[in-house]
Amino acid sequence: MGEYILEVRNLKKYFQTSYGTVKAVDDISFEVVKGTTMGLVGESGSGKSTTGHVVVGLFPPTAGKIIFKGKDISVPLEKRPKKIKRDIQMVFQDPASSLNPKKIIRDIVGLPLLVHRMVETREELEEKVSKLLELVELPPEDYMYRRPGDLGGGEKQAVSIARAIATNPSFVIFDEPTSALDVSIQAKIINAILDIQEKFKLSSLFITHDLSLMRNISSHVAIMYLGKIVEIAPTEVFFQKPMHPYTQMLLSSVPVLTKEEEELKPKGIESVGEIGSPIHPPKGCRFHPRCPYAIKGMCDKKEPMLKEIEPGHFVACHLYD
Amino acid sequence: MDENMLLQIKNLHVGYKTHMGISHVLNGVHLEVHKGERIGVIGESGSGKTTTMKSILRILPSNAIIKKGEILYNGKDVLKMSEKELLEIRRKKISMIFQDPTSALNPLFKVGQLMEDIIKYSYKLEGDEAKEMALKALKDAALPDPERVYDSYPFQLSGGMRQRVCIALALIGERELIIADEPTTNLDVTIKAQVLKLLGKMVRERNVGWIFVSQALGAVQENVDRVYVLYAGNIVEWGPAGKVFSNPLHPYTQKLFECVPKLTGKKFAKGIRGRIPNYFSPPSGCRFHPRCDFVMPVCKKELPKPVEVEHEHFVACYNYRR
Repeated sequence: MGEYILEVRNLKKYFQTSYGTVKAVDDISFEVVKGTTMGLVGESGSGKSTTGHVVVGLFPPTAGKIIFKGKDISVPLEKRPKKIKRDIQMVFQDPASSLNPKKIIRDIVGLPLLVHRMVETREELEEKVSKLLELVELPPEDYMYRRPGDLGGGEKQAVSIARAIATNPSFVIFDEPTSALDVSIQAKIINAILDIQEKFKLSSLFITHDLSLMRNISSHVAIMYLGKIVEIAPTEVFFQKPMHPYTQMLLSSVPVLTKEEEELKPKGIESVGEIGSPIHPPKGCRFHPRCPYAIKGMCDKKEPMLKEIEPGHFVACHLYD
Repeated sequence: MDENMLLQIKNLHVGYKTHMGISHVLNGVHLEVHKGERIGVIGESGSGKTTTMKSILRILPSNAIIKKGEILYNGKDVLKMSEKELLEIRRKKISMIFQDPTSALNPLFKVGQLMEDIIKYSYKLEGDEAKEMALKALKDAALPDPERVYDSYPFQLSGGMRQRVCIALALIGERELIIADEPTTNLDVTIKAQVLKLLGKMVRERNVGWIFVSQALGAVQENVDRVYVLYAGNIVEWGPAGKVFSNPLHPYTQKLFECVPKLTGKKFAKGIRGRIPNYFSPPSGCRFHPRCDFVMPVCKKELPKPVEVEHEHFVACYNYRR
């Protein structure tokens, strides 16, 4: 086991709304080992994007610690050292709204370089930007002076990736980078991400709702449900033995193409019900109203803690007590 | 004329007039649906899936031009029907489920009101009878507590429930054909599975024809009898779902299937180079030729004619010419 690049300890993020407090992320802990990718999987409302936003510093955490390379960075963004900001970058879900439509690609990709004073002259900027565009397979001569509006979804996302790696970060958060793209384009973007990760020895947090995609990308996986992590495991172990009932429900809901995939899906569990409210989450285990194995008087009362069932495989479920 | 034939689209060409010229989207689409048959249409964004579906109901935007083709519904050409005949079809025979249930339901009316309006115009029922019919439809769509849903505004329901309401609306009365245009794209994985299961079950029980349009290949495979693959306004391959999915023939279909990430991990495809063509000046001949690895000189000249490679499994590609 290598050293941790990122440690998240008892992280909480609450939002105050006129309806009450939304507990978007409610006491989660996980680690990312240097040079690996942690897949954060969950459905809408599970708090996976909020987790990414808090780590990158868009919001300060309500409670808990974020430790990056041994340093506590759970302070308001203004107080975060610039060096750390440069080291953690993010790629957002919707490439259309995360690129300034008025700027040309050179300026979009070059902005982080200017902000962090990594280039001095215009020539230097153009040279660096063209290298970055080449990395994501966009020929610089064709793309440098175009605007986001002229590009397709996949090309826009490639630009976002080029921008994210411009400052040579060691940690990148990918927040559903391909969920707005067609499968044939998705394959291209994912390949670009995999190449870059290998080339720069990047560590990353890959947020997705797509288990099949996650399997192809990450070495570890954390499953979130209503602000909680319900299961963490190395990817291979996870697919051999998904343990939490929610995980099993999620896996059994994935539509698949081949027989081999069908065999990976847990049998005897079916998707029922809907995700609860993050303002008034169900008492006890948050999944109990949908769980076919819920134990009365136990699951609806006592909240299960994450426990290590086998080496590296943690599950928060009373069935494994 | 085949007795069992419900819908037959022949050589449909549809374009859109824009300030940049005419975009030639559909380039000879054909499709057949038999009574009670479940058809899948797969293709990426911009391939013309929605244009094809909207042509069937004649609900295309006003800048659309239907250049040629026939859409025979029970032997009668939809494209030549009067507005009155069309209304009859839209009210009673064919219904459509859209991708986004939020924009498909009028936010100013309660679900009950929306349903009763449809019932009133389609079946001339009012008052208690209409309410009873609406509640039954909601119950059939597996909505918990139909009374409450009936009395709710769409915004008070979750995405999955809204789509169930749309399904209930689409299946009210005795429809013959349901067109579902990416009905689960906006929903979460577990909800997706529930909604699809419901839709599949209702369609089978009532023995109505079903066109299931989607990019989610796995979901299509699990739910349909026959499948059509649409690329850039052309049907490039079609046949029984089992055969197309186990033995894809067209280079585009093969590549597309490879691109889908697998739950088993391992191999990850490189994607398809290039992107869907510009419809203002689409490529000549086979529209896939600029992205194809097996391109031959003839591909650039003329649109390939379909070849029946195995029983009922057709492909439009010169590589299969005999």
